[in-house]
Amino acid sequence: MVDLSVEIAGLRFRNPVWTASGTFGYGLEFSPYLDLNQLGAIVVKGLSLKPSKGNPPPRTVETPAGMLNSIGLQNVGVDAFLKEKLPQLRKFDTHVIANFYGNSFEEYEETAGKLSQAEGISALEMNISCPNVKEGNLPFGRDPKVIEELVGRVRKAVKLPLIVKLSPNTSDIKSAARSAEQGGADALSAINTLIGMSVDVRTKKPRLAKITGGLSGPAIRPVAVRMVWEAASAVKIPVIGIGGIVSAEDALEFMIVGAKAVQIGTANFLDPAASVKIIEGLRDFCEKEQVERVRDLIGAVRV
Amino acid sequence: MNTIIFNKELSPGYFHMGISAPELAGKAKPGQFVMISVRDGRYDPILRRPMGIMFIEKWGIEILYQLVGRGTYIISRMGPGDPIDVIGPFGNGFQLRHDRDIWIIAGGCGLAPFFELVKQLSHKMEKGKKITMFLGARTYPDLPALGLLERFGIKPGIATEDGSAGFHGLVTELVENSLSESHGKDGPLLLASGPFGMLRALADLAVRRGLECFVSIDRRMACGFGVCLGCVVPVKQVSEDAQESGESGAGISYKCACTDGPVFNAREIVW
Repeated sequence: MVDLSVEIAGLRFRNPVWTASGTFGYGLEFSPYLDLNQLGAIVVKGLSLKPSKGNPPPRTVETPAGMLNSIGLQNVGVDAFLKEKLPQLRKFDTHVIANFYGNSFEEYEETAGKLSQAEGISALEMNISCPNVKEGNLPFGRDPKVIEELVGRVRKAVKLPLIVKLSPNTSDIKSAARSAEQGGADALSAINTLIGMSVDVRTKKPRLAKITGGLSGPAIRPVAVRMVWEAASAVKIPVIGIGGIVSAEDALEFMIVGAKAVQIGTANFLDPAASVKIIEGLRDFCEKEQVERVRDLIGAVRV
Repeated sequence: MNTIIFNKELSPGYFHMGISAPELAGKAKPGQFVMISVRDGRYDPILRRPMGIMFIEKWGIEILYQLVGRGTYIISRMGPGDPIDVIGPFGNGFQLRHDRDIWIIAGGCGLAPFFELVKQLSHKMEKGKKITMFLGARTYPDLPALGLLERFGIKPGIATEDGSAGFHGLVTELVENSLSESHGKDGPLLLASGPFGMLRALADLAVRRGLECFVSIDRRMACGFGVCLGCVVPVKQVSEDAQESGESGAGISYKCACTDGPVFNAREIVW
């Protein structure tokens, strides 16, 4: 029997396959298609202090081996999540990881504080790609100094393990990774979507109402693998790999360059049972290759 | 995985496909849709395509689709016995009303969801209540599957923009002309599916004439089951629970075409 379990930030996960925020709703939407108890963890849709209605449509556009989205972080808000969604999620024997974001330092602290007091959340994942409304709308995740301060403030506000989700829209992911570690992150996840744009050549209009959006899907995988490799070599804390994973082999690619776990994103749209199929694929691979513990493959890259 | 039973080109660019899917069919209602994988083993194109259910049978479902791009091209090349990955049914579907006159207005392939509706309703209409149909297209060849309507004893009113068949003009004009002859306040229930502009014109007509109107909204979708939040439709905000973000406009909130729709009350939508 292959051991797929991994340990991250003091938590034991039955396997390294998690579902990525924004692609798995609040988890319950997927229960007709797969057994949520089989997942390593569910990372829920990004939560904010107040409900957010999101961006005007069109919000998505298909691109080669991927898609652009500008959903605008639409969500029910942290209070409604805690009251309506979390009690149902608690019934499953799976780690629930609450992804959250804010438009100011204070919003981050307050939202994280509310989440950390709830029963049934294993860890928090912090999205630092959103704009800092007070400081000229520049994304928090762009400036290493801002990352360290933001992570440090949230760290003080919560007791739960804190995962910081890094943005790839930076020239130096190593600095961003080190800043998050300095600030007190227990783990990092990478990457969030890459900013992209698509234009209809006949109407000459951008295909998204908000002009630009986040690119996801297999198209971004090589970029993501490279960034996860860089981040994992720059820090001591665990890194969780995200970016265009649609098969067990894709997941292994991330683990071999140093990811301790992975998140499945866009693949959930293509096949709602994708994450469970990837778990089965990992088991098959390990059996065939005579790998007893999947964690033995973490960081096994030969460079 | 499901299997294709037949895949016929009815007229140039329009296809009628039967898919073996008894379990899915057992749950399906008129006006619902399925998500069909067009991946061809690769990831470009990558997303499933939403397709309205045309007929629900014991053995599966039938769909009507137009060849519009690479995704539909891939499935148009498939044949009987080929595997096809279909999930669903999704969405709310149309309410079935036996007790009212129903006017169905469809543009082009928007006709698809009404076949099953008519199949289920036509024999059960209360005395004196009737189903009337209006179909619009740019030109006559863009009106596929008309022959399939004959079995329900329905002769649709036809409008073409180029005048190649029926009324020369927009189907919404044909509907309005037909209304002015016979209907006052106690008018028919309008059910519509087709291009956005057609639905908007119809919603406007419904408000002017005090008619109830339900429309099926066709949107690009990534998932089909309410998680990507990509297929939203702007609707009038009824409560203040959503944050006023200023830029996207006060009084508007968003509903998913996939789970809250695809059928909406036309008055609910911010056109």
